[in-house]
Amino acid sequence: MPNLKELKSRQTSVKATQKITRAMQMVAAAKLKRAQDHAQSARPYADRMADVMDNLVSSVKDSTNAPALMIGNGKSDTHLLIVATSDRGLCGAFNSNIVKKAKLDAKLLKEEGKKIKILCIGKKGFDLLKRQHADDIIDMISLKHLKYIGYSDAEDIGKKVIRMFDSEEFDVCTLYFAKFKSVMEQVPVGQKIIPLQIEESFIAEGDEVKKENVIYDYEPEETEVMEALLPLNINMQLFQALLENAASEQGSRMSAMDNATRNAGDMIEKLTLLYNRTRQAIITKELIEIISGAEAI
Amino acid sequence: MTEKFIFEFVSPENLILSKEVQEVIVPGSEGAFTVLSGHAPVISSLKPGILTIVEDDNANSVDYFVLGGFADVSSKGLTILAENAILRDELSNGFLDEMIKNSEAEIIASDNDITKRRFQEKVDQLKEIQNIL
Repeated sequence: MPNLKELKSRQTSVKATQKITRAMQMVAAAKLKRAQDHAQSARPYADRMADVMDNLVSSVKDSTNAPALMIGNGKSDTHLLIVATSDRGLCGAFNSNIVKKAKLDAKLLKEEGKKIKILCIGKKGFDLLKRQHADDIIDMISLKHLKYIGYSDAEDIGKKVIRMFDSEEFDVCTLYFAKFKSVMEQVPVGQKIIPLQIEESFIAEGDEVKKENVIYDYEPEETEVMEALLPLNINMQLFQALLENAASEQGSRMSAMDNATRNAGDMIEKLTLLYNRTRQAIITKELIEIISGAEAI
Repeated sequence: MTEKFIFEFVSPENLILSKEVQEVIVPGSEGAFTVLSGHAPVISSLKPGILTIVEDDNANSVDYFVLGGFADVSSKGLTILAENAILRDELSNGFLDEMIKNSEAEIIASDNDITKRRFQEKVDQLKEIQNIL
């Protein structure tokens, strides 16, 4: 028969855990709201940027001296995978989903004989990758100290990536993060950012409106404008990915904690039942002992 | 009464302004230019400078400091993609100092001449603004 005292203490500990998970769920819900607002307010800029890029791309596409950031440097030997994850755990399968996707692609690339380099944003992704890809990881950037992600943080990372590209440390760059669909659903995606992915990111996403073909004047030259705009576009993509990630992380944590709270509730119920049953059994046993004792006299 | 056009002013972090205005003076990298309704389509990069918005004849103009970015003039109106935008009244000298210091650090850090020159220009432009204020 289980020990009554032991049961009681287990019950208390599960109750305490439930309190924690419930609190975490509520905190995540509040943070999710904020993260979503942030992601929302970055959207106009991204939309306009896409429009401008669209216009530019159509006029620069054919020229032979298009910037390398746009058309690539003609090679695809070394791939840089930027894996953006969170810095904190306890958010369900959020981090492992992103890492799983990145790992899969890394494996395919390696099978093709390409070299890969990994840049981790967020400590959790680094923790998950370091065993298998210890030699591939070139750096880990933690954003833990930040309360929320600002554009300048994305800019810093962007600068670093572009500097690496300029010094030919990699040829193709893909960014991994989780797209926020809803609280229940976050989709891990791999988005190619260098060279520029024209078909996918700009034309496919654009609405059905037929683009008017305006002839723009460029100040300074087209290619120069393009050269200045491309880094901005990369920064922006990074920034958006980080914002999406922040929202996804909170969403994922919220549903994970909701589940945990419910599971704890089930467990408490079972423990209470067992506890009561055991107590009853002990009382019955004692009564039987007394009665049979009395009968014996 | 002059005709108005749609003006959208966005930074990466938020939409700063979106309304009909009469006139905007844009600090283009090849020189400042004024956009009125019916301006020819142009895409221009911006240099650090003051962006002036005139809503209509009776209203006072509003000045913003922008650190860089892009202006896109099309038949739909003017869109400014600013890297960093601050109301002129809220701009502090300390902020400019910091920006200058950052750019100077970039000059030292960079190893190719083109970026060096680019940041040198930025420093000069920032200092110029500091003098104006």
